[in-house]
This record gives sequence, structure tokens and C-alpha cells, in this order.
Amino acid sequence: MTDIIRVQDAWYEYERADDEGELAVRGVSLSVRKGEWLSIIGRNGSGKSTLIKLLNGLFLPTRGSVTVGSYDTRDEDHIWDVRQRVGMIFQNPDNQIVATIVEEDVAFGLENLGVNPQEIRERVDAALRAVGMQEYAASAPHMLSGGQKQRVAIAGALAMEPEVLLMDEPTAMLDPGGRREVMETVERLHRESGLTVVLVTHFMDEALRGDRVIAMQDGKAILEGAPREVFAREAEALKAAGLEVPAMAELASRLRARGLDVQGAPMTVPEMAQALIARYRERGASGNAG
Amino acid sequence: MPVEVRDLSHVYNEDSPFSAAALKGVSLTIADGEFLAVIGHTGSGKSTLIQHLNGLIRPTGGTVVVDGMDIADKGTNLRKVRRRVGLVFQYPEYQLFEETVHKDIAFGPKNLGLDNDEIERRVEEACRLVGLPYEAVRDKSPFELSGGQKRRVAIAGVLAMEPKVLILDEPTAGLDPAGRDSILERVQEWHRAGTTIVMVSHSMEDVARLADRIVVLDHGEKALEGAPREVFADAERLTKMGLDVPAVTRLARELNDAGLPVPRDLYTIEEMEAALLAAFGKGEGGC
Repeated sequence: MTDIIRVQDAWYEYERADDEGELAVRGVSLSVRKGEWLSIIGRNGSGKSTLIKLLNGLFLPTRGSVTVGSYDTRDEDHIWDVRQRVGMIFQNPDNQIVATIVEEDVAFGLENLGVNPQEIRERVDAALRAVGMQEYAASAPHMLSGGQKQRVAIAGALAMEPEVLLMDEPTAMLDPGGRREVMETVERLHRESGLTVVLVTHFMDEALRGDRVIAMQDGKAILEGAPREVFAREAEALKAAGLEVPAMAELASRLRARGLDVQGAPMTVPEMAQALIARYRERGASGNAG
Repeated sequence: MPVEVRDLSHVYNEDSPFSAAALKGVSLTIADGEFLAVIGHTGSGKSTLIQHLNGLIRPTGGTVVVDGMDIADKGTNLRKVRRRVGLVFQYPEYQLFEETVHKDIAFGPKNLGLDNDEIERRVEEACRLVGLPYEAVRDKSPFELSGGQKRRVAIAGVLAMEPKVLILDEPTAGLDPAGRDSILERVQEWHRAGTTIVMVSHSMEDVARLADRIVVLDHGEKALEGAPREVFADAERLTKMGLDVPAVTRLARELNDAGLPVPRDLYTIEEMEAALLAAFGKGEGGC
């Protein structure tokens, strides 16, 4: 698989007024592969938000390097190439909307690049369709729900035709409906358009949807793997790092501890329901036979 | 000291072309010592409602009466209302401003005109209540602390006012799982100690587990009100309102529909664990 982003032994130190720097990222190496969905989990202060900001040159590593395609993020001549390839969505939808009309907001980045009006029109329409917000093209952003605002922000990033979409806790401020909307949109873009996704989240069920997960602790990557494997194998390590496993995985492990083994390591409600129903019928059948 | 919300309405920018009705005739009573949760989609009026509960904004229709004080009455001393009802905003750490943790927490009590000994006692007690090591943090700048600790300092500032009713607007938003659990354990402790709690939340799991009663707002109106099992009975209606039921509840219903002897109204992993062990004949006596 091709690597789009390569992080090699990256360190990041925040400067502080008292001259004592604070090391937020301590020697992380990782690759973001084309077409994958990588989730990053970790406690507040574990360095995950700092790490994701290193991936598009918003922060530059104080040691080590980050390359996007063939560009080093420290190369000022190509920082806009980096940012065009790697778009970013933040937690608060209200902090990333700049225009008073939805389609103008989506067009903002393109206008700054001097793209011709015909192409802007096409890209904005395509981006709004991709997030299911075409009906709201002429609406005022402040009239939209939180989930809709986040989808507009995603459309703004998509209009730049990025290869990678970085998202820093994009659902933290949303209601359950908004969370559903945003996650379904991201999942669809990833599946249907092959968009590469890097998601920082505190919600384990969101991390479960991805291809790979990395857990951060004290500025270092401590665990890495397919989400199902990590959640099945490393439950104790995750808890020790202040994290958790998806609710259904937690339920399965409690049941196992009490002698009720549920097959297939279920992690979602439908999987758990299916496993328990099968187990119950099996038990009924053997009971009748005996 | 119950809080009475009577036919409360609020229209922002009334008499202007931009007028927007955020609350439409909401009535409810918050009983002493209760744990009330308020849920609703973004823009449903939750924040507008809670800002009336301590007189931060005045109603454009109806009223709120706190301890006999009518907040719609221009003669009411709203400072007195605010001493009884403490409000912790969403992301309260953004409102920290003092040089030290001590000064930040002491700010409210100082404005009450309390003497130094009493201020000292309250700051120390508030730190204890939120689980901050007082001696270690008192002289630190709040901006040197971690996100979770900053939030504790901000909450301590409200607790130092010793309110009878504590309102928390999404106190766990943006916190990691351990930070979230730790804050919620504290909230339960304050509740057990007798403080009335009003908590706004987007987490159906937390609300189902903690609240005595839930009020659901939808487009500025009270759509539902009742115990968790009453409110979460109609999953479809909640989904239409941009909400949800806890994952455990969804599982309970699927299992019940498939004929397993599992009740439909389960809300926590502990409840589900017990119900499944019973259904599979692995109850306490089983081993």
C-alpha cells in the first residue's frame, strides 16, 4: 500500500513562558496509507491532537520529520501543496465556518486559490452532494444543526480535492443525531470515494469503524492494530491508559468472566444481538434433545 | 427549595426581523435533591432554558420562581438567585482568567463579601469536592493544568458559591473515558450529599444511568418528561428528534423481539449482564 504521509521519529515541544518546554509528542513514527481509515485514541493531553496537527504542517516537528507525498512539511515553498492534499476538520463547527451562505463557505478555499468560477461551481456542487447538503446550498450556516454544520465544513475540505481528511474530534459537540450523520457521511466517503481518513476521537465505537487504530499515551504511540484486534486483545492496556473498549465488547468480556461465552467477539449491537440469539437457540435445541 | 418553571417562553431579538423563538411555553418543577437530565437536539432550547434557571436571562413570557423569588419580577435581586443556583457552562475551562487556581476559585466567594477565613475554607473545600490536590495546585496558573484539571478548577469556582442547585451543561464534552467517568462520579457524590442536579447531556448512556427524571426538549417545546424508562420507551420518536436510546437498550429490544427472556427496558451494562446471566441460567446460584 502506498504511504501518503510519513512521520519519522517526530517530536513536538510547546514553548512556554517559563522557558520550560512541554513535550507533547515524543518520537512517534507512523505512516498513513492511501485509502485507509486510521483512528487515533488517547487521553486528554496524550498528544493526539498535536500529532494530527503535524500531519498537514499546521505544526512543524521540533525534531524528526513529516512528509506528505514528496514534500517535507518544513519546506515553506510547498506548504500549500501539503495543505491542499491534507484537509482538516476541527471539533467546533462554529469555529470553522467563515461565510454567511453555505455554498460561499464551501467555495472559500477555492476562491483563495484563484480557481476559475465555472470550476468552483462544479466542485462546490459536487462537494455539497457528497455530504448530502445540496438542498442547503443557499442557506445561512447559523440556521443549520451542529451535524449539518460539520457536514458543510467537510464539504469545504472536499472541494479542495484532498487525498486525506484529518478530523480532530469532529463529533464531540454534537447531539446523537448529529454524530450519526457525520459518521455515516465519513464512512460513505471513505468506502465509496476511497477518501483516506485520520480521525482523532474519544468514542471507541467511532474508532471501531476504521481500518487501523493507534492509542497514544504520554506523547507516544503505545498500541497499534486493527480496531477489533486491539479492542479484543488489549482491553486491560486500554483501561490502564484511561480508555475503554466499545460497550458491547465490555459486555462480552463481563459475560465471559461469568461463564457465558459469546462467539465471534461481537463489538456492535447487531453483532451482539446475533451472537446471543444464536447461542440461545442452540441452547434451546440441545435442551430439547436432552 | 424547588425551582418552578411556569409557561416559560423566550424569543431572541423580539420585535425585530431576526426574532427567533427558542422556548415556547415550557413548564416544569425541579424538586429538592433530584437529579434531572435535560436532553434535546442542538438548538432545542436546552441552553436557553438553563440560563433562565439562575436568572442569567429574563423570560419574554412566563417565569421561573426560585425559592419564592420570581426572576421575571424586575424587583428581584438576581444575585440572590445566583447564590442558590450555580451554573457550569459548556467547556467552562475557557472562562478561567486568574493568575492562580486559588484566585480563580476564590473569585465568586470574594464577590459575596465573605471574610478571608471563610473564603479560604470554601476554596479548599471546593478543591476537595472536584478532586484537585489543593496544596499542589493552589499557586499554579490554571493554564498550566491539563484539560480535565482545568475543567475541575472551573467547576470548583461554581461549587465555592455553595449553591443548592447545580446546573451542568454537558460537563463531560470532549473528555476522555476516564476523565468523563471521574467527573460523573463526582456529580453523583454531590447529588448524594443533597445538591439538586440539573445536567444537560448528549450522552443517552449517562442520562439513563444517572438521572431520576428526564426532560426532552424539541424545537423549544417540552416533548417528553418522565423517568428514564418512560422517556426511552419510544426509540423511534427520540431518533426523529435527533436523539437516541442507549446501546444496551437497543440490544435489549432486539433480544426481546427475538423471544429471549430479557426485559425491553434495560439501560446499563450491569443490568444487561444480570438479565443475560438469568436468561442463560447462569444466575448467582448457578455456580
